[in-house]
Amino acid sequence: MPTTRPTPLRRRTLLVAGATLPWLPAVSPARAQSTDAWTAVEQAARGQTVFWNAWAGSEQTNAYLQWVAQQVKASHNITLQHVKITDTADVVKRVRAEKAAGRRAGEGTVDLVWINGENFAAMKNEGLLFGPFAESLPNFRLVDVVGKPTTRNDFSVPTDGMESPWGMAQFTLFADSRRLPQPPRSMTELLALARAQPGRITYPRLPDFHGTTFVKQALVELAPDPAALGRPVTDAALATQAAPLWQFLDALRPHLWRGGRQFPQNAAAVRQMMADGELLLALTFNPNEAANEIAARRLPPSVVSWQFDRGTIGNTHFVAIPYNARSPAAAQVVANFLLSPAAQARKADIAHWGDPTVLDLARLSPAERALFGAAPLPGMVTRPAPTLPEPHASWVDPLEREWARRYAA
Amino acid sequence: MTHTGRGERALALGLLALVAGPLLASAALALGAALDATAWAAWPAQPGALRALGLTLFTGLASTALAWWACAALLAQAVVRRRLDRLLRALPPLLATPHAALAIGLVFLLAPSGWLLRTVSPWLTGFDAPPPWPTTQDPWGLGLIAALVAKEIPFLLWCAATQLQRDDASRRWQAEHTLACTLGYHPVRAFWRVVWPPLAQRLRWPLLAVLAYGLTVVDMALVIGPASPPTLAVLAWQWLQDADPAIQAQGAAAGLALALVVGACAALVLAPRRPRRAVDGRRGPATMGWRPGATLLLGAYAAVLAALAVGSVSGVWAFPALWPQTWTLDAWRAVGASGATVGTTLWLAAGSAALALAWSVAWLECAPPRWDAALRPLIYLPLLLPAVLWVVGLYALGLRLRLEGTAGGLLLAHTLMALPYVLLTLSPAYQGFDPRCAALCASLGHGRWTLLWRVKWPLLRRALASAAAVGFAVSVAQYLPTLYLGAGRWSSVTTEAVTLAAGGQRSLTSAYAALQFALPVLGFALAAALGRPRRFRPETP
Amino acid sequence: MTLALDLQSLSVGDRPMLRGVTLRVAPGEILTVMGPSGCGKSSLLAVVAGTLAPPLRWTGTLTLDGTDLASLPTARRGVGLLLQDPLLFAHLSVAENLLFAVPPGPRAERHAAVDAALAEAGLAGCGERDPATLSGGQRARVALMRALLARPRALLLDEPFAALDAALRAQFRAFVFDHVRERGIPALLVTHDAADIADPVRVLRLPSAPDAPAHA
Repeated sequence: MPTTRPTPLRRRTLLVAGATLPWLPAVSPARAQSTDAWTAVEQAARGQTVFWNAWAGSEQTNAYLQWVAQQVKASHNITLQHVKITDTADVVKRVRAEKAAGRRAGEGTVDLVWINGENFAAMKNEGLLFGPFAESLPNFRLVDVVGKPTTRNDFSVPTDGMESPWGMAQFTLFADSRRLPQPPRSMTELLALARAQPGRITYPRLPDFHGTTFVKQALVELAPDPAALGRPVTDAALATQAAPLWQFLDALRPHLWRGGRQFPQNAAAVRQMMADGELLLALTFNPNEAANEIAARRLPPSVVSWQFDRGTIGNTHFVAIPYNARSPAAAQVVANFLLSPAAQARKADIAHWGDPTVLDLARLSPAERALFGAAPLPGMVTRPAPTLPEPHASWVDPLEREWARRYAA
Repeated sequence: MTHTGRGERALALGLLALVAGPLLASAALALGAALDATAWAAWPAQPGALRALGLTLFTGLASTALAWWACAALLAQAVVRRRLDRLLRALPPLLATPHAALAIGLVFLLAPSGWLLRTVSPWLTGFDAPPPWPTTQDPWGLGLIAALVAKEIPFLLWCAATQLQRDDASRRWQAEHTLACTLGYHPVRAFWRVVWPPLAQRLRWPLLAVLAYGLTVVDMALVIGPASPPTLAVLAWQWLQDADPAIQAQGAAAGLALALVVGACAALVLAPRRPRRAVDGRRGPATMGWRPGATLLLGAYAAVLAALAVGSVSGVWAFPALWPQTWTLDAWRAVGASGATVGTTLWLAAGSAALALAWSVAWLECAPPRWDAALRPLIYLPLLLPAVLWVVGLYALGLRLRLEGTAGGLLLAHTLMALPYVLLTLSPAYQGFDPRCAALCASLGHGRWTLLWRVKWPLLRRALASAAAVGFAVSVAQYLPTLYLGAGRWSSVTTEAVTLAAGGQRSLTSAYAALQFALPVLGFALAAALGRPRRFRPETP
Repeated sequence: MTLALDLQSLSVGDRPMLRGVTLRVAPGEILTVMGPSGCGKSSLLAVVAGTLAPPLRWTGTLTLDGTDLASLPTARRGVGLLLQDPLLFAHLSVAENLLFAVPPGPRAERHAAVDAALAEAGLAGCGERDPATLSGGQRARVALMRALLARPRALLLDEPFAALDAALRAQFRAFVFDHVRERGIPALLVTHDAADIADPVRVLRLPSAPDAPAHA
């Protein structure tokens, strides 16, 4: 009797999934949680308190989180507390310290954290996260994992369901069109602009994440082999791929604000200086930020946003649950709510925040799709550019260190 | 009274254990985190680290020296022109201004797109866009020095005032000054020769507190100090924030290095020195210091507050417009929505001020003088160690005792931080209390408690109230301890303000800075009201 | 109620200040203690009052009417104090200063005692006043009445007349001596002014050198 070698588990699952896929369009091929299990989670979540540590540098974010808190209170009696932080690395540090002090599951101070990139990589590698949970959330089936691959791949590190996608980000610039009628369409044009009007352009000091992204954008545009950036960094790769970057930054430096001897703290400082007229342009990760600021009457209506012609770096930001969260069930319910069309639509609404959605609009019902009204508003990006993938998470540290060595002293 | 009895010694010992225990434990834990050999080798090698150290020394020493000189000059003015009381009455609002709020306001005034330049552009300067002058966050730290000086002058004046108003000294120095004038000395020179030397001697601890603060400040340096590289305190704090444990160890090591620098400067300041013999007999007029000094200081504070007030309601405000182009109340609405944080700030501040005051009074009553003299440096430790390092230890201690995120742990941290200031402010008046009163009271047949409740504490009401107000203000301004020991469960007005300052919106930052300012001012106003001397009914003829 | 002090030695650290001082004061008698400045007059009073603070130390015996006072704290000795500075408490009115001294008892009685004392001091009706508004002489009288209201068994006077001008001094001196004799309690008066001597026969002169004993 011929014996077949047992097919490896993953391949078997894929085969089965591939076979059943045409018949189950609405269910993601990954492990979908049965409704019973999810109901159990929802039951456990009732009455719990969730401490959500999230960056709080803008009023829109804070107001949106307040709205979410009201909604989950009404639906599941969950008390959502927004813990305002300036830097996600703080939370990583806190959870790490708690783990070192022996806090077991259920004894932590953080239930949910707004996270991505190298912070996520750190937490995942050190076993500081609860999960996998993301792909078992009922609303995860609405996520556009095909059109937005970064929802499963955070800075080239697979999420493995340890974090749930929340919003999209893409590196965007904005400026007052009265002071800058011809926006630069690439890094090279930016350099030319800096030469023409010295002292009026700058970017935040690394390791602020906007500053890092500016440098990564230049890297991606100038590297001889962009594919190498998607793989973990090596010394050789760093030397070859980053050489044109350092040349570019060296050439740019003398024409920067304050001669490049000094850099602003963060992107908000850059935005304030742009609003005051001290700088020509500002950067952001939210393509709708300028529109939002104009709507809130903090920027004049003449401000426009744009992205570089060949594309700018984009990523997804997520929420994750630490391993020792006290209310993991409620945290999952909140994460699920964040993925709901109602929540995503309100988030994408420029009047409230303008953060782009992670959902695939095609998978929504017509009523839900209508929530995502898209009337163009002043300050929005008129010609969206392609999203370039982030380099692998391991590139961030060496880049930041080298930048600091060259320009921080 | 007579020498301390056994019961008192036991109480003093208990008080000491309450405070010294957590202090020493935190210090030990912080040192443990900082004594990492690789980190010690690594941190000076970081780009800009040594320059940061140089900047720290320059800004700290320069600002302290300037503040010291300015304080002396202002006192000379006030004593000679007999305006001391007026000067001292103007102090509480200045003292209450939180450091971060003052720095933010100064930035709004001095920045290239700030108010000062807007008032003269474009008609005087011809600028259409903000000039590329590094007026704030300048690489030499001059902006930071200005901000530090503006903040430390009132504190030094306040400490000098508590010394000058002691029961046992106030009439005496006035008499001595008058005497020197009758000997032919010009009034100003008489001040410098006769009044200032003993006063300066008594101001050594406050001077040290000012120096330690200048060397280790984080929130002011973030707002107005140099950015690339920043001062060493900011650099250490940034490293401590990093997710990588190796870099955190570097941060702790840099914090320890900073502590050593403070220690070295402390040794210099506290070194006993022979008073200079000023017997050359010169009697002519000496440098007065600076006639418009007081007005300039008050004017600077007023300008800063005005900048914050206008900034908080501004929408679009492009250079070179003098006034905002759009006005909006959004920022204040956001502030209004954060009622819980105001509540947290209030109970923390009131609680820690009360505890610190109770401890200080108990200590000053019961501790034998020798213990007090020997142990003051220990109690003043939080003033001298950089907050950056301190917080590492406190948080580690909190984790061990499972106090992180609890109200009790947070209150304990705030009390420990407020205690040195309260003790510093209260000691002169308390220890200067006329000892004959105690003898008299006892001779009338009353025991210790009656003396305290009905005589000593009522007579010291003003000093007690101001010490409590100082503790209140210190607690409101605490940033790092609230951040770490609150473990995210609790946020205060200061943590909100600094978090929002990271967001950069001028209106929101100004509004929170204004709120940050209002609370301690209320505290001081309350203290002034409580500390008023009793009004007697006017005499009936 | 005789006050008897047998001082063997009074020293500052190791340095002796006084040696072999004995005194006996009968009720109603005022013993004047005189001596050059720095000889320990006020310290002698402190010994009797119980307010001697280290580094000052003394050895000897102290009795009042046979009871040993040395082992009692100041508040239980019943020894009144009148200082050069009247030290009226600034936060209490004149009447409250006096009331402070009256021993516990029925309210009406205590207030009556205060009223009587005010009248005695020539300040009837001035009870609600701020002590700072009184003249020097008035303050001194109130201070004495306050000391007496506490029903002391002995009275110590530490240069109480030194701050007053000549005319007031004579007046106040008479006031004090009259009251002390009227109460029939022993009193010790420290002064450096010979005009203050209460009874020329009862004077204790302290020597400037510590070795010579003194008796009175």
